[in-house]
Amino acid sequence: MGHERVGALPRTKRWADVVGGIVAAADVDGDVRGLANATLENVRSHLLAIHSDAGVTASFQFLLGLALSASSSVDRDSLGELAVDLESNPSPLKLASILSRYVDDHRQSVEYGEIARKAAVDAISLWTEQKTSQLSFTGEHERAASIWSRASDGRGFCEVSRLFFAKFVERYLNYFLSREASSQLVSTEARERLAARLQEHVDGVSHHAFETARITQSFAAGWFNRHARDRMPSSDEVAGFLSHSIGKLREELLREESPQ
Amino acid sequence: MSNDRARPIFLCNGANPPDDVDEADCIVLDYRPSDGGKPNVCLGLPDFVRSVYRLPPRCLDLLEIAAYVFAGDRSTSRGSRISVEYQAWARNLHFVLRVRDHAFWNDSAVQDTLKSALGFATGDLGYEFTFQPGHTTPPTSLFDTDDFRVKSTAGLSIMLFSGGIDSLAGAVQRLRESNDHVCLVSHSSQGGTIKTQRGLVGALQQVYPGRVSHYQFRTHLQVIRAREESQRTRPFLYGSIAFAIAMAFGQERFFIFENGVTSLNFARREDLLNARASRTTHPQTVGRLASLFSVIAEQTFAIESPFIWNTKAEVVDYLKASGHGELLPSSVSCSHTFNARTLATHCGECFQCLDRRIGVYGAAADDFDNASLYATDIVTASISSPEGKTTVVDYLRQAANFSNWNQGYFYNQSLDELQHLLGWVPGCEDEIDLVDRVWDLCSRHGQQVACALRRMRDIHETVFDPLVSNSLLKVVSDREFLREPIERLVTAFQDRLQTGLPKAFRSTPPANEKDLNDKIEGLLEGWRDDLSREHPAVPFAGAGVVPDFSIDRGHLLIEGKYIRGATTPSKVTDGLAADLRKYPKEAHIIFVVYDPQRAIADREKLKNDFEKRGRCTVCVLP
Repeated sequence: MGHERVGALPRTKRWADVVGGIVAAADVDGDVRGLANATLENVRSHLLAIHSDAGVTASFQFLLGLALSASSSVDRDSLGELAVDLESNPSPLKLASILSRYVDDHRQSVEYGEIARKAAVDAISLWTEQKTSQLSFTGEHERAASIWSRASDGRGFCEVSRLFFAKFVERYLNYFLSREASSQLVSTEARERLAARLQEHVDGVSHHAFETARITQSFAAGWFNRHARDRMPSSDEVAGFLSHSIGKLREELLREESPQ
Repeated sequence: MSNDRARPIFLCNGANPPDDVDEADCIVLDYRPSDGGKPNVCLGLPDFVRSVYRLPPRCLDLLEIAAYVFAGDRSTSRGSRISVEYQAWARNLHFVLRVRDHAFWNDSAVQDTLKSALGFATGDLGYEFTFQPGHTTPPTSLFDTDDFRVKSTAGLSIMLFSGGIDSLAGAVQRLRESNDHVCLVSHSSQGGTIKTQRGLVGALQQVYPGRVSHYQFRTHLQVIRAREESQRTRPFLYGSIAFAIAMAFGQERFFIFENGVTSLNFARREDLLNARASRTTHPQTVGRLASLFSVIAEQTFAIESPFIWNTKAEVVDYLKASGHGELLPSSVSCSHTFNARTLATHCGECFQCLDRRIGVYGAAADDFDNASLYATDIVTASISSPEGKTTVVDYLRQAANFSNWNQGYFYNQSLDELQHLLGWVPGCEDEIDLVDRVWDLCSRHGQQVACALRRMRDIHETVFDPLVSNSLLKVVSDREFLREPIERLVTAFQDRLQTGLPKAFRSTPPANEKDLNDKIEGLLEGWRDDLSREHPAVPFAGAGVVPDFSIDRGHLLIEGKYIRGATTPSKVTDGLAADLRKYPKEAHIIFVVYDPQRAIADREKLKNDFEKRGRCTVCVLP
């Protein structure tokens, strides 16, 4: 009982370079960007195709369905099985459970599907946390319908998308790096520091990608207003959005100069 | 983009290939002797049936299905450990089997229940079953007839028995806390495991004569090579064996004894997706298996997990407290026993060995379970493999998180793991109850791991010898979470007061001690929900004494002292000494001594003199 399969990275030069960069990246001023870039370069072709995976699409579609379920202007019939009963005030845990069932029914690569599903769970948790504190500040009731109605316009949708993509990329990076990091680093402190620095780096880049790089204004909000304002977009439309957003985020991550 | 791999098709019990498939493209699995040569699956079914006289046909089918699924699992690789992505991990397996009760197994609802039980436990993409009629096996004895019925036996506990600590403690619990006869059910695949199980059963039979019986069921591949070690179909096989015994004796339940932290097995790394962190005794696996067995039994069948809310250290502690600590070294937890080249029964570096050692130190049972049992003593010696180091560091990181997080943060961080439990944990009234209980379990585990590590350090660290690089002691040498929780609380409290109190009295000194305490209360308000002022009263010499503040249910007390005018430093030190006598010994006291005129000549000495007695921290301000 309690078995776990301890994985490792391939024994090739380019992956050995990644492993070699782990110790340096865990330093307080270490090159975490270089480590993330080297890792993403090694899976460039995977990342270019990942948007078309059914499980990835389903995970994002669920978030979209959740936001649209809270909107009064959306044709509920168009949501189909993605309509979420928010009137029953489901908790984040309950939403995560519904999401899991939906993704399980639509998965293709179980690896990508799982990473995307977990990223969508993260987005649910983070969005709820953000909106709960805002709503309690204004004295409004913290019901699921209120929380998710904030995601049912271009701006809210952008932020939920950013949370999803940032967590997806962070989890995908850690999918590789966590196999070797603990054996490479001398202490649990160093291991924690690397995890924190990677999270900070991806979060920072995602902010940049979605704000400074104007995914928000020029694409995401526009896409939402065109395709999702009053109905559930088709799978192809969602896949198109995923392709563009993941591509943008990847470009930002791979830029050599600091985004800040 | 993936999983476009060929789907292996297994033909079992002499089944014909599906219409559109050539037999040459299938893998034939059979345990029955034939003219063609040695069977490639070893299945001790006849011996097993003889031991219980008779099993109904549907149970015999189930045992064969479970054995063939296990054989198929073992013979189908899940890809390399060093693949870029683990796309090969999730397989699609198709079993074509001849069965006795064809109408039952061919029912789509039965098949869906079977597939869902396997899907969650294994992390595989899919299982397909095609059942064909016409399978029979000869009777194993005179009793093995349709007319033979064993009467339902009262006072019987059937349980899975691996020979590890948890199942041993479970057997002891059933023997001590009930009058039941205990049937231990084991799957036996290796010589070492069989020997361990028999040794422990013998020891229990000596202490509890006439109350312990042992049923072993053998299944393994032969002739063909096992290509996969992960064996995620084991819970289906083990559960089916215990279920068959339960059916033979007219029982409606069996027990699985495994501690809750291991059963939940929250992933410790990002790549541990899709049951790569095993789900052998996860409540959802157990629940799905119970659903399948209920369908087969045509009545509600339960699988009970009595240790689900216990940690490993608590299980070890139970064994020790029950007077059976001497059996600990005879139990074997290691999953790498087949690698053993020494007399040590454990490799020392795998997850099971690590969890066992930490549980044993956590329960202060290390006198029983000492380092000689382990090929590598990771506590003091260098961990030899990168896998071992990864296992240790990630185990400790998770325990540290459980120890340091609060419940709200735990909820947000563990939402995905928690949703896998929703609706699957018997006895939880609602999701709030579920989260409370899981949090309590994980939090206790974190604290017990910290306690175990502190004990390791106390016993094994020497002041003058350097720690061995890559040893567990070295890995944790600077760990923040090893500090006592109360110590962390004190540090946080001091930080807050040292910053805030001088600011509060910048223009006007406190009017009196009450004013000082009012300001302290203001600074702490909202910091801790469990902060109480002038509560609780503590009995002392027939009267009640009341601390200025208490936190953590009275484990941390705060006393404010204000030096001014007639309240001289000597009066204050007398007051500190008196407080130390009055308040309970298990409480830690923070003395906030406010001395604006610097009447105390040597603050450091005052602080040291009191703090070296233990139980108190003296904070002199400003």
